[in-house]
Amino acid sequence: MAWFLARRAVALVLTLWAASLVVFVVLEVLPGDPALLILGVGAREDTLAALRESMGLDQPAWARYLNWVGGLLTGHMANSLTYDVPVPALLGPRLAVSGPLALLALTLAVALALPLGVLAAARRGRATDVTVMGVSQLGVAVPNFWLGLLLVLVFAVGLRWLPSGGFPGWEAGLGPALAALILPALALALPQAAILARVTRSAVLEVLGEDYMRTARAKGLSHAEALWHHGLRNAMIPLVTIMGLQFSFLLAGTIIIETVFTLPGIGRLMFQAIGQRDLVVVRDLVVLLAATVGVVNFLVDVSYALLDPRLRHGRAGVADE
Amino acid sequence: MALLDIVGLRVETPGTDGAPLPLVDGVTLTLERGGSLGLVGESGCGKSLTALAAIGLLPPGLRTRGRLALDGEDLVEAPERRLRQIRGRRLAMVFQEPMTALNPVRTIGSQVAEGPRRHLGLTRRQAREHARAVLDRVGLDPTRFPPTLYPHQLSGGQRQRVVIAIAVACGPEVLIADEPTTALDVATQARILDLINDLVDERDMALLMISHDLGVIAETAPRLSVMYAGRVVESGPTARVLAAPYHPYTRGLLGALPRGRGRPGAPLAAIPGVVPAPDRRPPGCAFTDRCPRSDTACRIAPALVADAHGQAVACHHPHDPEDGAP
Amino acid sequence: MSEPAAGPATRPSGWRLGVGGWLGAAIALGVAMTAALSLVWTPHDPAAMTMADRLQGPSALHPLGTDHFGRDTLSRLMAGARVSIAVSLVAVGLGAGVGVPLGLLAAARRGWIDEAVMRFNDLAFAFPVLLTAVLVTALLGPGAVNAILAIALFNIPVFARVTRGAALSIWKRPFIQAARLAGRGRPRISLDHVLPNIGGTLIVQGTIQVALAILAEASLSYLGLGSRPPEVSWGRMLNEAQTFLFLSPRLALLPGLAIVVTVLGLNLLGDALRDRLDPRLRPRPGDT
Repeated sequence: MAWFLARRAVALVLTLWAASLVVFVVLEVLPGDPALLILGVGAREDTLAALRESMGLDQPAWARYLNWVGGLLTGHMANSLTYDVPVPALLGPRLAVSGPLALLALTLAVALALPLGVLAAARRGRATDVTVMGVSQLGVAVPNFWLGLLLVLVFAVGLRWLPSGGFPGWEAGLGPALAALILPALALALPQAAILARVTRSAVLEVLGEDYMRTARAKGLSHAEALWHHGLRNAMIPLVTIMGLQFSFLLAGTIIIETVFTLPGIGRLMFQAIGQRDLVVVRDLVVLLAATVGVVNFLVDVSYALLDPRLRHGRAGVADE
Repeated sequence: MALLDIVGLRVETPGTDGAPLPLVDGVTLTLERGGSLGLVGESGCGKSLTALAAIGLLPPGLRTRGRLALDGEDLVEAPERRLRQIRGRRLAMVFQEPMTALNPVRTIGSQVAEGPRRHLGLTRRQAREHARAVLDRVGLDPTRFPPTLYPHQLSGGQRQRVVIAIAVACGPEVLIADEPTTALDVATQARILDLINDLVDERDMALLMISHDLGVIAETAPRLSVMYAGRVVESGPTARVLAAPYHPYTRGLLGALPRGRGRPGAPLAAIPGVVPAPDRRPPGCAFTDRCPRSDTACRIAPALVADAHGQAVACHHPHDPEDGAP
Repeated sequence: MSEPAAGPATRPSGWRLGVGGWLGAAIALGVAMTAALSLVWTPHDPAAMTMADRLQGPSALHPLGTDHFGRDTLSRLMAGARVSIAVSLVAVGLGAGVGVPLGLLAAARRGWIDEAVMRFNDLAFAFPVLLTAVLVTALLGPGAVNAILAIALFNIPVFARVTRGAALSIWKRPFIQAARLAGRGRPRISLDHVLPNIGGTLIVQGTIQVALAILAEASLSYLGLGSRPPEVSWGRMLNEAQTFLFLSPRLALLPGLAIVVTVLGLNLLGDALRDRLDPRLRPRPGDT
């Protein structure tokens, strides 16, 4: 177990290092002159020179890379080019929006998809199954930003239950803040839930065909008991992988959903930073997102080990018969 | 009264044209309390389906007809709730594949304890102790094989011992063993068979031993039934059937044994051809196409007729007992 | 147990795709033909503004109404289909063009090449398509070509992984061993024997990837990172419609429906083709 986790941890660090290298090369080495990329071809020479100076572009690339990574590790990141505040100060309040949004969306997706997928598998071929699968087939085809618009149309414009966008801030109280996050979270969650429900169904169906389920039934357990006590934990093993993947899609989804709902979050910051060619913010954000994805994948591996004893122990440790 | 009484059992699948297609077609088996019965046949003959029908765990889509009674109580029409009280408690089953029959993510102790906790009304702690004792009895000494082990930490033979422990944990009256040794190596096979025999004697269980291997049946059951293409073609005392089989199919099975029962120098008399699929069975005797003795009479299905010694055969042209073993 | 699989025989035979498959095929064909038609004919010029006719409901002249510049919605939807399909097909084609050879190479050579390809895949999977796209446009600026590039980049690891997995199972087959004994080189075997045998799997994956690419293209052009005016795209139609959500919800509904129907059709087709073509997903005969 310890060996397994140590190997995954090393892989995580290596992936992050590779990601930072790729980002640096793509954003700061390949374009030749980052200052020109940021300011555009029509920029005045003295403005360019000032920017080069402030970004430390007179130093060699490897020195700038070490500087940057060192800053990332110690939290002393450079100042944003457009906001002129250190990137961490920029990130803090936005993480307080995107973090809860992503968590809420993931929770909603899982809470919807798991029961529906299990139900569909248990009622295979019957009306419930056909309905769940039909709706999820539709859900997979719906772009999340359009779903966002539909939700606004129904719940904000039509019913006037929830705000159509914007964020009052947590200081406005839990109620208003959560109300502002519900529609975006739903827009992010529903298409993911559709995928997850389909995967859940097939994972459960796979498990239902396993021999150990018959062994459990031969002990006198009912279908439902066998599924609950013996099936679900086995079915969770492939599901955890998908959930991990989905989390990274959720993060990317915040870029577009925060734009639809004009939420001041990480995704929107990323989008704006790109529009404003604020390379300092872009490179830090990309590494931050890659790190988040990497950490989530690491957690997925940890939960594998928790779910599946075959990963915790070596094989056949006792004398063969 | 017989303990397990199976009369005219049919297992049907909905055929492609809507007419039900029998996979098991009129099987009659009787198991007395404490008695043992062997069920033998090639793969695909319906012996596993017969066992699964008996315990009520047929794959979805298949249905059972005929009589199936435990101690006089009908199991075909019994509600699922009643069957759950019987499964594992009075009627238990050992499966073929020890590698897949156990849940990989639960400890062997918890898998053995599950039945007793449910059927014997034990507390969690009592069930755990019980499981430990049962595992010890099947040869998994708790000091070397603690109940906290997971299936993947055991060898095939050890896992099959766990499967047996699960089956016998509640002291069932009937134990159905479906090819319990097929997946194991020869040395382990013998030890597992010994274990099953000992447990059956010690706990006065009735045993239905299912195997394609006549050797396994000969070691465990004083009586046997031979199945072919969903029907019983011959049955009777094991010693008599093996010594002087009536049915050409049984003779063929015996001839296929690689144990030197055949005449020295004679070619190994494997049966030509394969078991016909359920929708390809010829009318009448299903063995016709592969049988050296078949003629037009075989287009009419032969009935199972017993001789004075209780050896029964379903064949129009049975071998003469004077022929001796093939 | 070796009894035949239970239940009625439902496995598709011949060219049967099932109801969903045919429906999906019909939708895909319909969208493709609409896109082709828009090259030569649309009811109106999709870019022609008539300010007097702005935000009109459906009429004989404009069957699906007009937008805030008085442009004909039906014409714009037809032209949008063309952009959607062109971008997705080219992007997936490029992705497959790089990914499939990589996967074949990894399966044929194993060893460090395999390892390198797979690690590159892991890295690429850490960047979802939208993030990749956003980065690409950060470097190169918005536009249809860059959107294609971004979506293609995302498709490379998908095709590499699927190809490698399918090819590995083919390499284990006896006829490959025979070809190797006959002295054929690995590249020849990959092209002559492995590729034809994994074609079905690749077509299935391709169908699903085109559906994903259509969603990605819509997202990008909604964000303003995709094709630029005067090209029409469903995503940007949605972006523009958002401003008039209160006044004219129809403008936000129609392009979305076009996306949903197209993607749904491709997914249905992909699922049916998978049941039909992908040998790995055939039901296993019997159990135990």
